[in-house]
Amino acid sequence: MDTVKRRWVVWLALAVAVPARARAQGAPAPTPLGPSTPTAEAAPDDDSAATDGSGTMIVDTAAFEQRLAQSEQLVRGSQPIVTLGGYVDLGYFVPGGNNGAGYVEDFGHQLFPGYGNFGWVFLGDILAPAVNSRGEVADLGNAPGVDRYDTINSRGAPGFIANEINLTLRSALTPTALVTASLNFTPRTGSNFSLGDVFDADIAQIEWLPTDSQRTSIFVGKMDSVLGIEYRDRKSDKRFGITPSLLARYTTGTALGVKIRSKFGSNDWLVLAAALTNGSNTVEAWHFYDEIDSNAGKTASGRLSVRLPLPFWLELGASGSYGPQDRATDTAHPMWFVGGDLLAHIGGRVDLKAEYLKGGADGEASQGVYGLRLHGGGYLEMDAMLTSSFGLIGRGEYRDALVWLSDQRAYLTKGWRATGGVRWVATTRAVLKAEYLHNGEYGGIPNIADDVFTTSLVMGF
Amino acid sequence: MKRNEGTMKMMWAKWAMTAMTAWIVALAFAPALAQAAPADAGGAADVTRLQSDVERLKQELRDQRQLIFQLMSAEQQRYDVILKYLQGGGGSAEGAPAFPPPPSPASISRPSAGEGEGKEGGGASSGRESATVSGHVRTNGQPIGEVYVYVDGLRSGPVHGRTLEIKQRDKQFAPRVAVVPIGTRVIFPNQDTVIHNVFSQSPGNSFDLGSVKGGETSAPVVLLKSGPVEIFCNIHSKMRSDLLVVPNGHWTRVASDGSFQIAGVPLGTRRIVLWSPTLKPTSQQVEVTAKGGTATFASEAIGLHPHLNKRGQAYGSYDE
Repeated sequence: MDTVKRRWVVWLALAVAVPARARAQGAPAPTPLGPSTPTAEAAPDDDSAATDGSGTMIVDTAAFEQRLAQSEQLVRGSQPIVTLGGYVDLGYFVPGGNNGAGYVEDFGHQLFPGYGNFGWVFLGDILAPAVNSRGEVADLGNAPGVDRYDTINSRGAPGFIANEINLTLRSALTPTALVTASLNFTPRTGSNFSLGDVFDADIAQIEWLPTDSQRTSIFVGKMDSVLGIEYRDRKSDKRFGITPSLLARYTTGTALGVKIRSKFGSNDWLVLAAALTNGSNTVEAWHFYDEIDSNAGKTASGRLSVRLPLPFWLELGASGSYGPQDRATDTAHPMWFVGGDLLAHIGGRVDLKAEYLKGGADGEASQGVYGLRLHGGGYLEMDAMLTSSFGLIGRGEYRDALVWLSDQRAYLTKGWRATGGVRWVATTRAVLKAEYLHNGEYGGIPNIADDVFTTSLVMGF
Repeated sequence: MKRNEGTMKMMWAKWAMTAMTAWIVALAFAPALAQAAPADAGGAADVTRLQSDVERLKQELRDQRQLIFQLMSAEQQRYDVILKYLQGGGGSAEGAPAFPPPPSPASISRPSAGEGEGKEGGGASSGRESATVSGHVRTNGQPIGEVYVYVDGLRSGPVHGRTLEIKQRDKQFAPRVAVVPIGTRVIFPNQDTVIHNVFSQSPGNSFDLGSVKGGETSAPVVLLKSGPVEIFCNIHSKMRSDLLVVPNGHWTRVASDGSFQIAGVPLGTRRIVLWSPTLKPTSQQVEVTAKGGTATFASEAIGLHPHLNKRGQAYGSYDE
């Protein structure tokens, strides 16, 4: 019995002592906090004095510093190869009338008899009642003679919408070769037993910065436009407001090709950009867009901008594009755009943006390709942050254009729009926006009740 | 019965031994298993663990340094007071020495490094034999700009309670260049209306404040290692601030004519360092005697090369 008890005591002692010893061996030895005794020579601001005074402590500090540096290196070396980003954009919109559509039909050519050579003439702007940053409209209406995929198809009813779910992947092949892919998911209603959900890749590019100064970038892939300035904040997580301008359909589409962009001068006061792409930079939903070219000719585009030496940022730019008509199988008819733009940052709180554009394309009746006469269009936008969280947006714009398809149909637009909205930056990752769009008509086109109130909650991840 | 009882006891003892052995083995291997488990986790878990390790180590290092310097400062002050007391012939009426009590670390009032740079060129005097180091910086006719010289290899205790504010306004840092003593707390108020992400990857002073929206201020950063610190924004590549963390109060800004003077430099062989964000860093060994010391530098301009973002990647053409 005594033997058993003694064994118990020994085992218990071992049980406590062994792990404790193991832990003690793995941990740094405790350092005595004895009084330091600097010598007369060892002034308090001398490194050697610190070492002499409490040598063990300083040795441990150095070890900590080394270990800290090693850990910092490890963290840097453990950066993920691919970084994921993106956002979820949710909204609620209220169409103002006309069943959510932005046009009416000129029955019997009563209002514009001069367009009597077209079978159907529509007045207004199909893309005027936009509800989100993608430029989708509340309803595409029921124009005869065409079968369109009406993504929202609200028929004038207000409703909630998941505007866009974006996933952006970034990776660096080298520190100066950046690969980016931006994927959009848009849940929509299907029809006739088909899914309506849309998946699209708007960016799939590599950007290479070949120079030491990193002021020149060469892009290859599906990439942003060089026309104007609106493409820079076309996505809802970048855009101050919600809806795109009436000109965005011509300038903010992404295209496949190559692009070079260089900055020159002190503080990059001069920027040149040029691109060679399959087609124009019209947006994908617009009936000029052609992702994979149908003809051998390519579209050349470019922009030149200068920043004036003023107390605030003022950038003036001119841009244009020229190439074969999108969707045409030959290169006989050109499609072109030319315009100017202005961007000012004033006092860190106010941004002024302005753009003017005109362009044209003859179309090709035999190939079912639309023609365009953009007589002119422009906008002036002011974005102001009143506080660090709360901002206002105001934009005025117009668009004067004729779009036609052979002698079948024509869309005559003489429209203007006034947009007012608010922006609330709730957190670094959540922004709530609300906008009211008042669409008006001029030049003999009857007023169409196609105003829109829309909201957007953009949450980044 | 007794035999049965003895057998039962033996069996019970064997069972107890087995159980104890299992317990001991479990206790002995548990720490190893606990350490091994995270190694099986994925890369993301490793990064998180390493980051928390870095934060923990930083905190430990900070605490230990503070304690070391406070103890040393307290002890030095105590010895100074005792020495002065004895030299003054102090003592009680009974002839027994009456030493003053040691000062508490919290009441340390020895001039710290931070007090030296308050008046540029003043330097910090440690009370022992010292002299003035003077010199000149040749610039080849170029404007001298913001150039500093300091004495390396001397260390004062960290500064307590000193705070530098680096504002973010109009997508720029203000100030863009500053000299601070070791131990300085730096805060970064975002006075813009856009989000900033301030970071530095300077060894020993690296930090990443994450996204901070306009009107907000992130947690302070304490600079604990002497040397240059480059501060950037991960969103706006043109934002840059350069700090020089000096180890002591012996520093000054070079005058526009290239001349400088650092007073109160302890005698001996000292290393004088020339620093500017736009000049190649250079240093000289100077023998500081009772008559002083002299250093002459030939500055060599270097361009501010573009930097990478916090992930070690270029910003790209469309950065703001």
